[in-house]
This record gives sequence, structure tokens and C-alpha cells, in this order.
Amino acid sequence: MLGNISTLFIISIIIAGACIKLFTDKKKGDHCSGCPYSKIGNQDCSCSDYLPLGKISKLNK
Amino acid sequence: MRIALAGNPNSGKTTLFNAITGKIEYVGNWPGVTIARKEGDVKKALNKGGSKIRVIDLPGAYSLSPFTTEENITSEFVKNENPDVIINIIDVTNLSRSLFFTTQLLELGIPLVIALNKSDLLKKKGIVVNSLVLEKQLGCPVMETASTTGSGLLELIEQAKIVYGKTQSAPFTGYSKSASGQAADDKLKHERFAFVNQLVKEVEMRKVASSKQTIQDTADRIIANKILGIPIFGAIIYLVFSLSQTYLGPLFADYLVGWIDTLYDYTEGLMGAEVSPVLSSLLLDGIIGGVGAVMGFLPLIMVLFFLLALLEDSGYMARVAVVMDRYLKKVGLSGKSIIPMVIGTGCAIPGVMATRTIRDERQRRTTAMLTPFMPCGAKLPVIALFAGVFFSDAAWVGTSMYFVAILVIVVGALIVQRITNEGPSKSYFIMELPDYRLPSLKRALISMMSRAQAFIIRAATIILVCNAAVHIMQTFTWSFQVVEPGMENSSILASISSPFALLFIPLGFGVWQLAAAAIAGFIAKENVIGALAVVYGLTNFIDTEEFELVAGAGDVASVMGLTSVAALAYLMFNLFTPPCFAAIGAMNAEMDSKRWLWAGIGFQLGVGYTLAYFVYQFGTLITTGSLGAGVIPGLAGIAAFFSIIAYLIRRNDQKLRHDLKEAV
Repeated sequence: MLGNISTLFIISIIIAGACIKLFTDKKKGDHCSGCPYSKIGNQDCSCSDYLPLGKISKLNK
Repeated sequence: MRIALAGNPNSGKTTLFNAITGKIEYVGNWPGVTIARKEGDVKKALNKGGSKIRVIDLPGAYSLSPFTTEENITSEFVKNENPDVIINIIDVTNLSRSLFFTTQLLELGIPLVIALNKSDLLKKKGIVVNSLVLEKQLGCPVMETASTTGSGLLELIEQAKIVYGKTQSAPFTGYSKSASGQAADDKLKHERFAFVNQLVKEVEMRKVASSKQTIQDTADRIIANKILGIPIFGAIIYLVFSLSQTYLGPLFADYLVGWIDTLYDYTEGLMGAEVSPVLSSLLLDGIIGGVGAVMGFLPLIMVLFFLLALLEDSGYMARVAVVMDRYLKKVGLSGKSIIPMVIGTGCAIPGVMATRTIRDERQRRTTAMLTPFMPCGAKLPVIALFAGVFFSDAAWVGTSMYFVAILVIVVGALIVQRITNEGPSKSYFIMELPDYRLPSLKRALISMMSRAQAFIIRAATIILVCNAAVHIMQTFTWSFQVVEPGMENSSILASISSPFALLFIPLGFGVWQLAAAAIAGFIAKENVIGALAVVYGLTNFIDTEEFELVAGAGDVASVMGLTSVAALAYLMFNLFTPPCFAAIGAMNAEMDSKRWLWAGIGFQLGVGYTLAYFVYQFGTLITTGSLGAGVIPGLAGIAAFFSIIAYLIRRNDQKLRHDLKEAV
């Protein structure tokens, strides 16, 4: 019983840790966790740290 | 204090940015690598005062009158965001080209420091530059730097501190400045060029005339030759794959796989028999086994990334761009389309993002649609897996995938050109070829480590979560009962994947396990490996002897129920169908059209399916003398795909004829 609880706890910790990392990276604006191209800039910017051309033209309008 | 780094493309701005901030931003030995601004603080070793100095690395620009989007970013920043100091990075070996932009920057009134970068190459090239005269003529400090070695960087930052808060005068005073209109603009440009040429005459002395043919020029005649360039590229990529997959990679992979197996056995022993088989299997097979199977490929792709980084740094990839340029122009793409595709070999997302440098909307959207066909870093382990277990680590598998990708891109561009009714467009893409240089081992190592870190993070996050989900879905039925042995087809995963498996029968892999892995690949391509490991209960794809231990199979093919031909078809399906969701998101952003996005995804699905179908059916015909299963249904599906394309082409032809008649 204790073995089951411990194993379940460890599995939960591992999966929750991975989910939290994914969630926080997504919140920071990274397209995908771990992508070396996501490290452009140091705060809220990511590899998507630009306005896509379509949005630029819309803003200009 | 905020310092902007501005200069011409490939003058070494990002290398200098990395050197003064300690960051590891992506650099490449070709122009146009930086497409967005990057920020960082000057590292302590170079900042004696200790006050915070923010540095902004801007995309390369030739002029403050922007011609491309990335030039616009630079122009907008220096004009509107008022940096305290501008460091103008000049490739000192190419002074006359660089000073045009410098004279424009000086007119902004913002204190300017000039970094004569790549000064370490001066002696080698037989060039002497009198920086004191240049400093006097331009009215701003001029420092000699070499960002690759770090020389002159401390003095550069100190000079930036000295000029901070001061005013800047402009040495160039063209008389046409007050006039307006196109003619006046042209005249002003001519005056500016004349001023720059005169200045260069005064400060530069070349022992070797720039018009003289050098060894590099001779090498380019062969390497960038329109006919020889392609087989040379093939030979180099073959060598890269041979080294990474056949020789060096497996050498290191054996150690890593051994450690993963030890961790597996240790965890199994630690849990003992008292832990529920469902939980122990989830931890051992779902998490350790699934992630371990992906991680086993880390050494192989590290070697691959290292070699590709060496190639990039040597200046060779810029030559590949030149070789491919002429073919892409013929099929209606921009000459610039090759840059996103080369970047896409690392990751499709920045590759798609790089399409923003293409001004023509149709060409930009077409390039964004076709760039994900290039095998990206995430697809490399999938290639390595299939090349390793089905083709004895044959390097031709990986090499041919690049050539198939290029072929698909060329044919795809032709189809889009016909559908959108555009004739061969004139594109005057001039790519400045960087000098060949001995690649830096340090830079290649940094690039390799950065990508390896990314691979590990992805394995520990998205792949781990997906593998756990796949394992849970495989373990339980819809009524959340544990699947009985021999009743695997009743699992949640089997019931979801089975309808897709039916579609894959004509492709030679119509089993739910392979269908499930292919679907998981749309989340991240490495997931194909993790999911295969979970559904077949394997932890080690490197040591193929393990396959013989599983299910008592005598050969690899019988474990997965795949022939070598079907395995190749499965590999091509995974490589040439739509990329991961994140890359599709980037396509959506760059295309800015739902119609184009869905057409692109449909096209990618059709191409992947068609390639896999023909590889399997023709391969089976050649190897066994008869066609594979599901020939007719598969052919019907492909016929439907091509009918839609033919209809769209015909519709546009009619429209064109109609427009012509009206015009007449």
C-alpha cells in the first residue's frame, strides 16, 4: 500500500513538474519549451517577439 | 543607459552582442540571421562602473530607408526609441559598403561609437585602415574590435560611457538635403556615396586589389556552381549523416542507453513486487522507457548538430543558398525563400518566421507553407531511429530525406504558382557571400549544447507528458478498467487510433500502434519515438538486439509488423505531413490568412500521404513482385487530392483567360 502511494506520488510529481514547466513557458510567450530560439530577449519576449506582418499592416491601417 | 547595436548584415552584431552580454543568441555566418531585436545587459567583466547598461541587438540594415521588414525594425528603433548611444558595427574588411549607413546614423544626433569589427582579419587580407583619420573625419570615436576573440570590447563599452549624454554632429552635408522628391533623393544618395568613397580612399589601403580573383573566388566557382553545387551538397550531407549515425553517434549513444537501462533496472528493483503493475508500468515503461527511448538519440543528434554548426560557421550554408536560389526563382519563389528553408533545418518555427523578410505576400505565404518540409531538428531522431533499426544506420536515408524535401518544395512551389496564377517572377535577390573561414569549435560546441539542452527539456516536458498520456490510454478501456492481456485492441488508445490505422493500410502501416505514434508526432515530432517505445514496450532503440528479445521476433521488422519498405513509407509520412502544432501556429501568424493556412495543411497532408503511398506500393512491387494492400482505396484518395489541385489550377487558368479577354 505504502509502495503504491509512494509510486503514485512520484509519478504525480514528475508529471505535474513537466506540466508546470510547459505552462510557465507558455505564459512567458515561448512557442515551445526548450526551443533555443525561444530565448531571444530576456523577459516577456520569445522567438515570437515581433508582430507578424499581417498584424503590422492592420496596425498601420 | 541603452545602447543600440546597428550595422550592415553579417557585420558580426550578434556575435558582438553575445560577447558583451554573455548571452547565447543564434549566430550564423551569413546575412539576415537576426530578424527581430534582442536585448541583454552588459556583463560585469566589461562594465567597470557597475551601472546597468542595456544593449539592444538590431537586425542588419544597409540604410535607414528601409527596404525590408527587418531593416524597418532597425530604422524604427533608432529613429523613434531614442537609444542613449549607438554602437555602429562595421565589417572593417568591407569599409566602403558599411560607411553609407554610418553617415545616416550620424545624422540622427545620437552619440555614436564605431566598432571596426573583424579587425583580426585585416592583416590576413592585406588591408590597413587608419582609424585615427576615420575618427577625425567622422567626428566620433572609432574602436578596433574582434568580437570572436573579445578584443577591444572593454574599450568599446568605455567609449560608449564617455560619449553618453553628448551631442553628435554629422560630417556629411550634401547640398540636396533640403530638396525633396525622387530626383533629389537619388542625388543625395550619389553625393553620400561620393563622400564615402572619398573617405575610404583617405583611410584605407589595400595591398590586394578587391577586383583580383582570390582562392575563395575560385572555390566558389566550384562549390556554388549551378551543376556541381548540388552533388557537393549531397556528398557533404551524406558525410555528416555517416559520422553522426554510423560512426561517432552510436559510440556515445551506447553509454547513454546503458545508463538509462541501469536507471530502469534500479527503479524496478526499488519498487519491488508490492507496487501495483499499473503504476510500476506507468513509471517504468511510460515515463522512464518512453523518455529514455528519445534520450537515447541525444548523442547522435548532438554530433549532427555539431557538424551542421561547423558547416554554418564555415560559410558553406550561404553557398547552398546561392546554389538553390536559381531553382527556387524558376518556380515562382523569392530568392530570399532559401533563407527560411536553411533556418528551418534547425527548427521550422524560426524558419517560418524568417519568411517575413519576403515582401511579396504570395511568395511569403508559399514559403511559409513549404519551409516545414525541410527536416528540422525534431525530425532528426526519427530519421535516426528508422535509419538505425531498419537500414543498418545507412546514411543515405537521412541524406535522401533532404533531397526529397527540396524536390517537394520545388514541385510544391510550382503547384502553388499555377494555382495562384502567377508567372515566373523577377526577384533580384543579392546575397552577400561571407568569407570561408575555419569554423570555430567553441561556437559549434555552444550551438550543439544549446540544442542539446533544448532536446533534453523537450524530452522532460512535452514528450514525458505525452508518453504518460499514451501509456494511460493504452492501459485502460473506456470504462476505466485495466486492459486484459491479449485484449489490447479494447484500450482507449486503440479505439482512437484504429480509424486512422484504416487510412494507413495503403501506406503499409495500418496498425493502431503506428497510427497512435504518428498522431502523437503532431504535438512534437520526437513524440513518434516516445510513443513507439510505449506502445511496443521498448526502452532502447539504439541497441537493435533488444528487438530480438521482444516478442521473440527474429528480426526488427516483425516487432513492429513493418517491412523495410513500409518503414521508409512511415518515416516519409512523419516527415512530410504537417509539422508540429507550434510550427502550424507560426504558419498561421505569418500567412495571416485562414484560407492559406488550411490550404497549406491540406497540401502537406496530401504530399505526406502521396509520398508514403508511392514509396510503399512501388517498393513492395520491386521487393516482392506484387503491390501492397489497399492499392485501390489509396489511389482513390490520392486521385481526389490531385483532382482538387487540378480543379484549382483549371479554375485559375479560366480566370486568367477571362481577364485577358476583358483586357483585349
